Amino acid sequence: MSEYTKYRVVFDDPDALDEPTKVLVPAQQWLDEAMAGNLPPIWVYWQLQDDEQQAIKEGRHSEFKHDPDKHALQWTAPRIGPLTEEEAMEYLCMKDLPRRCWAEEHNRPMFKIVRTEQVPSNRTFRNAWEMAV
Amino acid sequence: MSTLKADSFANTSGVPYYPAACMVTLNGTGTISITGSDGISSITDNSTGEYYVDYSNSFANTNYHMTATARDNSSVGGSRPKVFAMRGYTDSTFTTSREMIALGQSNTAEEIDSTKVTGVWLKDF
Repeated sequence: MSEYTKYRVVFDDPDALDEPTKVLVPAQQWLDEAMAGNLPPIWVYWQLQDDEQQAIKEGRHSEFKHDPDKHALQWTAPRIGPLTEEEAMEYLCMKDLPRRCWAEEHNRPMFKIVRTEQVPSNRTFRNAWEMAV
Repeated sequence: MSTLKADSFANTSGVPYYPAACMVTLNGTGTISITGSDGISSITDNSTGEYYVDYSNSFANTNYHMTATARDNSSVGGSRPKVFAMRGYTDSTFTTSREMIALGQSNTAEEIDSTKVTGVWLKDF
């Protein structure tokens, strides 16, 4: 495993702006896979997320099962090739952040990729902290 | 690196093994960090005592099992963190997205951080 990444993602949920700013920490093992070129196209994950959200909307989530072919694409779809660490962080944002953070227009950015040292380490301070525009 | 593919695992006597689908150990104090993980893509510090875990790959269905533990945090008046929620936004576990681990003080349920929080997920084959 390579040295632990210095990147974090800070983000606000547009549907809960009064909540503390959130901090996403990438898993180094996942980043290593991304940088080695082992990820499928991002739409593979989006397709699965969409199917699950649809099941929630229709009230059938407790018995939800993914379409086996779509699910298998996570491993069988052609790989997208090696990413830089920065590209991998952008991919991770599109995979793990709530989609409304980056796919919808807001009057300010809802997320930023930052360095670890830019994130306040004091919890009380961090809970009151807001992202600068 | 090679990948072992199988539908189930057992020793030579036929005793089954149930490997974890993913796991994570995190430090929720200070600037939150991952101290060990497998099969996850990220964690999110949502607020005090509330952490989300995103899986590297989606589960095939909602029939998986999860558990979490948290280390006693003596710095908070002797109160012990208690894992009191491990669910997303609905009654069902999510297959594709983030699952929550939330910690509360054992006596007041007020949310609390811990220096060591471990979550493990097992799946049905």
